[in-house]
Amino acid sequence: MTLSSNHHIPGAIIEESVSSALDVADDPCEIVEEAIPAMVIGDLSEDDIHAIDRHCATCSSCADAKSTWEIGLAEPVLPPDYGPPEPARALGLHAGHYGIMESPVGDLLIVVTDDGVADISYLASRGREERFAELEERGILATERSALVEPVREQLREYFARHRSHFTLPVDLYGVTPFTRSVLNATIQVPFGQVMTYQNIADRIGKPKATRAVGNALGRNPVPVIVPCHRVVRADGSMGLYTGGAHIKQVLLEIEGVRFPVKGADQPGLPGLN
Amino acid sequence: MPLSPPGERNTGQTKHTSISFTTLVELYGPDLYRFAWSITGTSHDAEDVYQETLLKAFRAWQKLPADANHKAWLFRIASNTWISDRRKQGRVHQFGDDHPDLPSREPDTATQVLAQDTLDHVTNAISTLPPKQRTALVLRKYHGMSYEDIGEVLRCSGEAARANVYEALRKLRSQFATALID
Repeated sequence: MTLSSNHHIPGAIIEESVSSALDVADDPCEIVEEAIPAMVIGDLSEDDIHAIDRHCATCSSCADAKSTWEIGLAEPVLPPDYGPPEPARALGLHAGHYGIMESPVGDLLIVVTDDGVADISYLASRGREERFAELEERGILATERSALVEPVREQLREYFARHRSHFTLPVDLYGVTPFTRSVLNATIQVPFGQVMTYQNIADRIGKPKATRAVGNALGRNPVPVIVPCHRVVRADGSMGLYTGGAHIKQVLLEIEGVRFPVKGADQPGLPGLN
Repeated sequence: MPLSPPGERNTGQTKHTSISFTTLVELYGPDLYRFAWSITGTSHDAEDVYQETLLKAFRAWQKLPADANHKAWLFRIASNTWISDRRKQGRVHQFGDDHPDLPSREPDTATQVLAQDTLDHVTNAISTLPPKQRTALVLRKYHGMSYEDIGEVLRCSGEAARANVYEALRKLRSQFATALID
């Protein structure tokens, strides 16, 4: 136990080992008063704090000094109705609120904004931090407000339980590029239980040669399930790739009663089951 | 149910391997605002410092090494922002009042007057400390930061950070002594 060398200087502040100093002190008040500031900022050991408390219990002037320091260094209290501004607003970004849900295809991260559902992510295939970083690139900063995503959870639960065939939730494609947006807007028209090919979507947006770009755009779909990119399949009737993994695409299509390979997927019009 | 912060859960330390800005704000935003409030002393200035810090941090975030001490880094931006704002305001304040944001108080008992006088005295005492000492004291007392971390905020050694805190306490001691005698 070392004792700060400055404890003999009048007006100095002791930083440690008060209890041992008190044992040999001629004037304990001097030691205690010099140690109180260090105690108030949390630099003293439990032993030292108890030694000071024991002394203050019988010495009113030291007790007064202690309360002066405690009051003096008390953290200023924020006005009750005052808090930090919403971070997204402070940054000029689009504000989102997120929550998590368990589902038959793994945990989902759900982000909503004032305008609609902005994001649904399969957390098993992409980490939460990676997903948040992608949202930041879209200009969306989300804070945890689980209650606000409940309407989305409810409709998704009904869908997975095969009690819902279409969603009535608005979708917010904020920060999504115009091409991807046009692909997603065409995809949202594909009805429950039916499929289209990448070529069909390319035709629908008036870019018949952009099949590969359509596939890439669907891979960037920020709102899977609600924007049903799982209903877009290959021209040979095989399933094709899927954000989150092909096994999830299969589960979703099974929920909707689609069997593979889809017969007639390469025919014009709306192929698939009927 | 809020998610537990991934970096902290995995390492048990203040340093993270890789987190998004969203998570950074979630982890440290409220503390950052409290810090801004306690160093500036007014809600208006606190909001300015908080907002400016977030903007600067957002722009620099991608360049920050993954193993950086994120909290100390954020607080350092806030502290630097406040000090530079203060310098600018120093010129402006010659033309305006010092604390336009402080609420007016109408204490109705002698006790309240006495308590308020002591508090005012103390608040003034802290606000007269040089910025580095004030920041160091606030971080130690209100945020329970280690001297090592305070050193990261102030860009100095842990020992120098500690010296700043104790210098601040020595200055306050003489102010408090005056308050007690008065």
